Amino acid sequence: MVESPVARLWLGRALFIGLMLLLMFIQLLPLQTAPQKWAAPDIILATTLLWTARRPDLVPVWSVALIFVIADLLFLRAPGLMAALVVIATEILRARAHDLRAAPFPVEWMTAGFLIIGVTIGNRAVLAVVMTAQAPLALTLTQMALTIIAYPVVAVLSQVLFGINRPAPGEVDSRGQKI
Amino acid sequence: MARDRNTTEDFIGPIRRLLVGLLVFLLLAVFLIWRIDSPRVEQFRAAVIDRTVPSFEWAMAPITGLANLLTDFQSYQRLAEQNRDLRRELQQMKSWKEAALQLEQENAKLRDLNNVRLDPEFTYVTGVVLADSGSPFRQSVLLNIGARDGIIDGWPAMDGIGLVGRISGVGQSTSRVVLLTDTSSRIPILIQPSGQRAFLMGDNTLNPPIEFLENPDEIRPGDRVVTSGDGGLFPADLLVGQVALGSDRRLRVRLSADYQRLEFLRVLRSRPREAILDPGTLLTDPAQPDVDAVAPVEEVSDNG
Repeated sequence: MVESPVARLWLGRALFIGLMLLLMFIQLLPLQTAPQKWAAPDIILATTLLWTARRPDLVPVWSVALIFVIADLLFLRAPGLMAALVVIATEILRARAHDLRAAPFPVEWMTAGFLIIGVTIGNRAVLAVVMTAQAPLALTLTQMALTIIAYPVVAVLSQVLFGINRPAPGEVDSRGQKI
Repeated sequence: MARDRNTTEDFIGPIRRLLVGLLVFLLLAVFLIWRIDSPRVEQFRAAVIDRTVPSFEWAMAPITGLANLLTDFQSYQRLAEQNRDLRRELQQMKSWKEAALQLEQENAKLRDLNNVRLDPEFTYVTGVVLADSGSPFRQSVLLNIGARDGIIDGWPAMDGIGLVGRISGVGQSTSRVVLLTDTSSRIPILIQPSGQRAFLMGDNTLNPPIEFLENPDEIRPGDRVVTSGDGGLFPADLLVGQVALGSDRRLRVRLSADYQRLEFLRVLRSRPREAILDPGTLLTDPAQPDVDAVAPVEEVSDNG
């Protein structure tokens, strides 16, 4: 491994964007055209929050905004709204990322859980204020709950597949600075 | 905790916060523009999807095929059981076939007597399903035919048997079909033996409920449901499904189209019906075009 630190950083960022696009692509596959009783977890949201909590340097704001604007357009959501909410959520998480690292995993999970709840409720609230048609409440709630439940699974998978672990306090980042 | 990054962050911090605030503001502005001028933003969305999704087609087709192969493989496990069921069904079908043949002959004779002519304008374009909506809250699929194939917003889409949905959003080479199960889908229907008109309201379940029904007592589960053609929205008499009684005691429609696997859809070229605007010169004196004075004219809107 003779990559320079900067190259590693950008490789990580490209990996994040590529992974998100792959997840979107999988969701778009016409495998399930009949409506379901329950909604699958929003893996894109969970992964974004997880990576922001653990490696904020790999998830810059612009990439979050870019990914979620694309997702809004492709998944027929109100364009821009979800993106704005997720950018706010990741910024909150980014500000706490340093403290979260020292905290045990359940604390990180809870923080992410609250943010997922916040994003969901914020989304519905704004849509209600501007009087847009809403998705069924039961579906939204199951998706929210399942996303929170999926968070540890995403954590394990990210760690095993991409090595996104929680940096120990005092570890240095790619530029040799403390992260 | 000494952090030498803090020193740089103090420089960058406020600017960064400003930029992030600006970004959020920008995104919300996009949302507001969408809310105010929805058609234009939806056009943009259709253009984006038109540009991006077909380029994935080379990857989508094999993966979808593979996944379908897997589900097919799972069904092999129940092969013996299925065989028995199918044989029993075949027995029943044979008797039905006899009945159908007799009816067909009778029907042909009656048609001959009446000199009925079926609508010769019913032609269709067949498209392949490229992608679904990707979200559990929206029920729609993307077809690989679009404006360049002459697809127009509002045309009905069917699979081989029943109505599937309606075109809503046409790109250059793709078009979106909002399925009957989507929460925003409302279709005027006719329930056949009793001839009652109602609406089929999509509610994100596989069996959408029937609403605005005048007399539910005359409806029995198993009645045929077809489109009524009211409001010029769809051509009349497209098969939708059968009435079924839901577990919540509401009348629902069991859709005839196979929603489990939508692969090829037919988009019917539905032409707007001719509107009758003048009372005709035979009935009234053409010199006094007083439309209100004569019997009320059935007004048929020209387009859905």
